[in-house]
Amino acid sequence: MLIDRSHKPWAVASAAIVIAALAAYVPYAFGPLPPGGGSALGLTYGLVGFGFMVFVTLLSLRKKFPIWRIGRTTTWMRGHLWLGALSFPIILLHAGLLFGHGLTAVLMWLFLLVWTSGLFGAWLQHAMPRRLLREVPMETIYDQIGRVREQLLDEADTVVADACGRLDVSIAVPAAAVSARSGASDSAKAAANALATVMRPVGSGADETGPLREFYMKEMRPFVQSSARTHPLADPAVAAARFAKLRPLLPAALEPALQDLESICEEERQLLRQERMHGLLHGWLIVHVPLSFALMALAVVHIVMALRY
Amino acid sequence: MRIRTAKQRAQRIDLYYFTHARGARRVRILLSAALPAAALLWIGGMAAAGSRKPYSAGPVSSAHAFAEAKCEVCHRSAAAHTDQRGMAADHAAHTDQTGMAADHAEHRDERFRRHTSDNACLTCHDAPPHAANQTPPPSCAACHRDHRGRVQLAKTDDGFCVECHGELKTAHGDPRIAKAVRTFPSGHPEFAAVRAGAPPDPGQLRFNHAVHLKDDLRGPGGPEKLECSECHRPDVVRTAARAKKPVATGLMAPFTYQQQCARCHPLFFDERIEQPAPHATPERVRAFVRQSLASYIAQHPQDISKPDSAVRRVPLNFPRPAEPPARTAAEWVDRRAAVDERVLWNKTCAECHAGLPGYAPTQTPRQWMPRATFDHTPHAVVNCESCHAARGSTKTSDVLLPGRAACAACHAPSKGAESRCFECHRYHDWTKTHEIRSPYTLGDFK
Repeated sequence: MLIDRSHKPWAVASAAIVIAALAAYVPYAFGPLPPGGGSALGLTYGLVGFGFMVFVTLLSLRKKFPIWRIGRTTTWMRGHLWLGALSFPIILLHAGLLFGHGLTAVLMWLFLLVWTSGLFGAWLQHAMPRRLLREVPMETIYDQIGRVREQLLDEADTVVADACGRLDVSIAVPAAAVSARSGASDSAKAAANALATVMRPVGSGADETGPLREFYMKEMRPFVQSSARTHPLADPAVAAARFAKLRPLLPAALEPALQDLESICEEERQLLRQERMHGLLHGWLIVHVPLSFALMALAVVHIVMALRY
Repeated sequence: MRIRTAKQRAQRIDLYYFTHARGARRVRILLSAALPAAALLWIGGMAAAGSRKPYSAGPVSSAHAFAEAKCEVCHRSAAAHTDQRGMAADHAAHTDQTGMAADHAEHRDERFRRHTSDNACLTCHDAPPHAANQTPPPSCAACHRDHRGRVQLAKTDDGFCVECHGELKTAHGDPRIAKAVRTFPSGHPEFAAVRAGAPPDPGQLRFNHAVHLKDDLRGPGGPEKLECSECHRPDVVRTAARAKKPVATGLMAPFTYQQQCARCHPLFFDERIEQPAPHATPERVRAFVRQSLASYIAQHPQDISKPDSAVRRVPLNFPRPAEPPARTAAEWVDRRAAVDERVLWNKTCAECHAGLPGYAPTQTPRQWMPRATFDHTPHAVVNCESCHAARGSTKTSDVLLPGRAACAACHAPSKGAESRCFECHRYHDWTKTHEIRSPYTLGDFK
């Protein structure tokens, strides 16, 4: 989420809450009794902090039911961001700026991890989308990358087959054609692939297409198929050099095919880049979300036991 | 030129992609279920094993360490402590007297959360009140906060004291000693004994420190130099048979004539009697003198007829006219006893005591600051005269106690030595101590 001027009311309200909490804490900390969660003010901090925690956790539920008319998702997201950021300082005041022992210490360390991962995530969510937009203009839905990659391979096979004649490969058929949801068997998929292979027009088989076929089969196809970041074609400069080296060896009639292959390589590189950036953009959630749920579960135990004792 | 048809574009997207979690999303979902489950399993496992460690607020104090795993010893309702242990009547009576635990606020809290009740503390500890008219008395746990590590609970923070003494309010009139005490040394009044206008030393024993600290003091074996410790000795209350060192009260032991004075000030009263008079009441001294003289004259009857040596008037040197010799032993004893008693009452005993032959208590203060505690033992690191200006003192009425500034040389927050209230003051009035009859047995803590 982009943190821009539209967050100003949230930022001001959050600052006001922090200032008010600190203003109440200073005389309390220097009072006759050491600050702690069991005092009236300590319990107030705990109540407010836990309230914030519950709200920010409910975002998961809100996402499960996006059509519920319980506030705009943007508002929920901003609340998650700002109240989540506030919750840890408030809970820290509740604990008297101590991490405590036993369950309390576990809770505080968990909370620290959740909070810092959340802040890191907020920064990523603020900065990454712009970079993604700039560096991956052909961005697709992350979960579709595998499928798009298959289509790229099919497209590249088609381009080379059109230019060089029949390829000795089985061409992947788009999933829409043989949908996994349709219940088609593996033999049916294989038959479809075989049909696609046969239907490729047989080219002239002239020798001048040999370098293209060789380059494609030995270098480009493995790159698109395996999507390895370490492949030489994953480097735009190396890829440009390879294509520049190949171009003089081919007749002018194959230039459009060569350009198409170059474009497919670039798209594959962007998919690789998107995968990497998506990993960064959402990887922190692997830490943040599970720890948040563990934190909430233990927080409930803490509340029950603290009130009991 | 790559051109995608509408059909190709439509095929590009799998419309059901969101129904299958893959990669990081799947890991996240699995962890989101596994981690809370693991956390709850940990808590449940600890509970099943009977461990309360997860709920402990921290290690308890050294004195309570033996019961650290027995939370219920302290964390029980007041009712549980009294009803289950059958101590209701006993402790209710005590707490009503002390006014420590009978406040209703605590019982309100009791319904809310099970904090340690005063009854739990009073089961094993005595806690006399601080001041009879103190309102409202705080609960035990308000000052003695446990679960802060192996600390001494008696070492409370100043905040608890300053809460009242920072601006002391009294029901009637102004505070007797100080209205506002916040910290030591600043904000603490000068010690009462050395405060301006304080009464002099009430001691009735004449003593000149300056003379006794002279370098060439005349002693029984010639000139000698006395040290403070030759007269002022630590007060030892008891010495266990196998104790490594004596147990000292921290005060100086009271003086006795035999220990401190007799070596240099023997109570000789007659040149014929070799035994000095006892350091006792005038009646006993008088009886001793007459008894000694009677014994002497019985052994030396020839001395009855000997004329008395010239008795000189003091301060004039005019000798009295010689008296005729005594005729009987009784008369001789009467005459000699009168002379000897005059020597004792006017000179020997009068060195220290006034009003002889009457008997006046010495009134030497046992403890100068009865509301504070002081232990000389750790202060032996500095010499006595660092604090007590005895070398210039010539009168008994001089109060040689150091002032607040002397203590503040070390006892200040910036100097390192402890300067919190508990270092000198005790909250509980231990003159009102109460017998504890704990219901626990050794087996309760195994």
